[in-house]
Amino acid sequence: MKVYPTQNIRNVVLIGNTKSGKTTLAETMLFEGKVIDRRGSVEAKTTVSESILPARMIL
Amino acid sequence: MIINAQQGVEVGTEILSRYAEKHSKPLIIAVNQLDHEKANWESTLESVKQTFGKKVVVIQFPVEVGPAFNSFIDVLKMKMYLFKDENGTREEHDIPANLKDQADEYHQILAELAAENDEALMETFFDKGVLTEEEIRKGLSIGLAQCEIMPLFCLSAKKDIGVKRLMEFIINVGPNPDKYEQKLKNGESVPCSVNGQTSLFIYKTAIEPHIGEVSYFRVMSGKLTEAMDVVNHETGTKERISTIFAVAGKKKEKLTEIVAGDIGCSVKLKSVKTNQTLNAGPKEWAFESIVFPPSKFRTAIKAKVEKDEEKLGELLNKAHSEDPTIRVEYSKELKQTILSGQGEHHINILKWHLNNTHKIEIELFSPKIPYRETITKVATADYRHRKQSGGAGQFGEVHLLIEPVLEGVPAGNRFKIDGKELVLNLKGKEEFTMDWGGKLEYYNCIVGGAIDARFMPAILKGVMEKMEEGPLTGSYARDIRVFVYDGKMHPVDSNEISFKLAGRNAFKEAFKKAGPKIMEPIYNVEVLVPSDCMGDVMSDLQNRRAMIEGMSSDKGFEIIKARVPLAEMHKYSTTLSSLTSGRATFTMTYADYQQVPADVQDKLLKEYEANEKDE
Repeated sequence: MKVYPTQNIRNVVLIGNTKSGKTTLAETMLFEGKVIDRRGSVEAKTTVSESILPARMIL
Repeated sequence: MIINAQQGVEVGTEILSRYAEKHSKPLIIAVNQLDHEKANWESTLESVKQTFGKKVVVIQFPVEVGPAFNSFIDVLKMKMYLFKDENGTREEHDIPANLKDQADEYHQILAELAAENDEALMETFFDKGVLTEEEIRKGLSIGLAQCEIMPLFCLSAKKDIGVKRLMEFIINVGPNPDKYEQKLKNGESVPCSVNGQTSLFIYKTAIEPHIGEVSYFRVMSGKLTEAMDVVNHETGTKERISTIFAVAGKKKEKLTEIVAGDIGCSVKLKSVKTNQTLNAGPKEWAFESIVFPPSKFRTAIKAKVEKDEEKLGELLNKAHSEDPTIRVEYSKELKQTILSGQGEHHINILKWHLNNTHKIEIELFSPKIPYRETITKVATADYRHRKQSGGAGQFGEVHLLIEPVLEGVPAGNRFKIDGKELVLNLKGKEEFTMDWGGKLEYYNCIVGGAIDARFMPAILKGVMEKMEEGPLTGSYARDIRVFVYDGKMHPVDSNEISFKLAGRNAFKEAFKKAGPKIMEPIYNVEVLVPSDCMGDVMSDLQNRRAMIEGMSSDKGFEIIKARVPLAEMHKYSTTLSSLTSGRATFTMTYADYQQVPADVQDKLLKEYEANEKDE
């Protein structure tokens, strides 16, 4: 993987109320950035953001 | 900041924006879900403007919202973007004639706001009345970095509409990491430069299945290469970063090098915790810690089955290292494990994990309140301990007097008890500061050898036992002077145990006659509440025996300051949430101890007596 110089780095945090679309936006950004070639969905729990632990838990 | 176009600004938006403001972080507003059938552009934009004010600058507006949302006008590019599929394929078009006026209007506002951030741009703008795209970008870039403006974008993340354009903007206009000063704990700051000493800040540690501990870091300065040695500033431990990964969810891609400003992770470090700095050089930098919010919800926790206790302890410690806002503490005084977190829901998620992932059944219950007991007046008591049922007998008799320790009032030697004057001969004095606060002063006033000096420590021991388990409710006692002034011995039967018991019981009796009071911990509570919920929150606080100390307003919020007994604060976060639909926050810090009102004291005494009988 290539090394990005500091000038080309942007530290971005996605914030927003529950259900505003943070996970989906992250997924689409990764898709647009060609990190992934297929987008997962929140409904099917197949997104990159939730691949380790679920980001939300319905009790 | 992502805004749901069905809802406009929500509770979470408000709370998160306060954090962003506090930490001076630039915000871009992304209005998402414009493709949703309930999406409403006008009301969303209105609520955004109401919340964020003049800083909001519209970069894009949609042509149509709802399921037909497939295009928006970009007033920086002065183009219309049209999306034909759901994979981000886009076409650039000229702005349709019917939207041209609106686009021009937004463009003019945009150019003006951009110009305001730079004097040279301002001049150009005044001369020509317009700015080029490049000039606007420059102005926006300055304004964004200084948090003076909040550019607003249109999105459907789900249908990949507008996402690429947003990313381009972040790349072209968003600030580089090297634009920011990075503060050290000692107040100095370090530039985010690849030429500086290599230094990593650990912002998260997690335990992942099949991998173990994963340490996430940001390169604050310099560059990290594979197999580099670094030293933990806090512990002095040397660590070798044998592998560097870039992370996307569970996917980890190996890197040979990573430079200042980037984030990555490494595995199998020896002892690295969140908020620590790792340096590869002589400068012992320690970057400012992430400040985690104070706990808002406390509960006592125990395993349903005793054999799970040890495992539970381990798991709770792990939970804390992964999520530092979960705090665990064993209270020796209460003999309970106290778990605290951000709210009832937060704790319930942990409970769910313990139950389902780790198969441990746990119980949550309200923590005991660490009451204190003390006295308000002088009292005496005599107690004779005597036991003569076979074998060696036991005999000890103690006469003692107790009075409260009041600050600045030294011990006297003349007392009036039931109209009679008692003059004591103060000989030995011992003074103890109790672990739980307050004092015990112990005076030997024995005359004529009524009790041997060798029994004095035993009497003290008996008194101490009762200080630890107060006579009223079994809570710690404090601030008491004890004068042992008379007693009796038996030439054969007197021993240490006898005097310990006599001392203990004499103290207990005197205590009950000395106007005993229960003290309770009081907390300083600060509630940040939206003005329209003020009434409900206030009356709830009054029901909690709160003393309101002050109120002030700040941007549509009221700050209430109050002193509230801890006993009344259980599950406050849950109540506050439901009173304000989650829009209020609060903090609480220990203040001091105060006498409980008489009715509450009666209730506590009865509860304690009932419990004693049960046992």
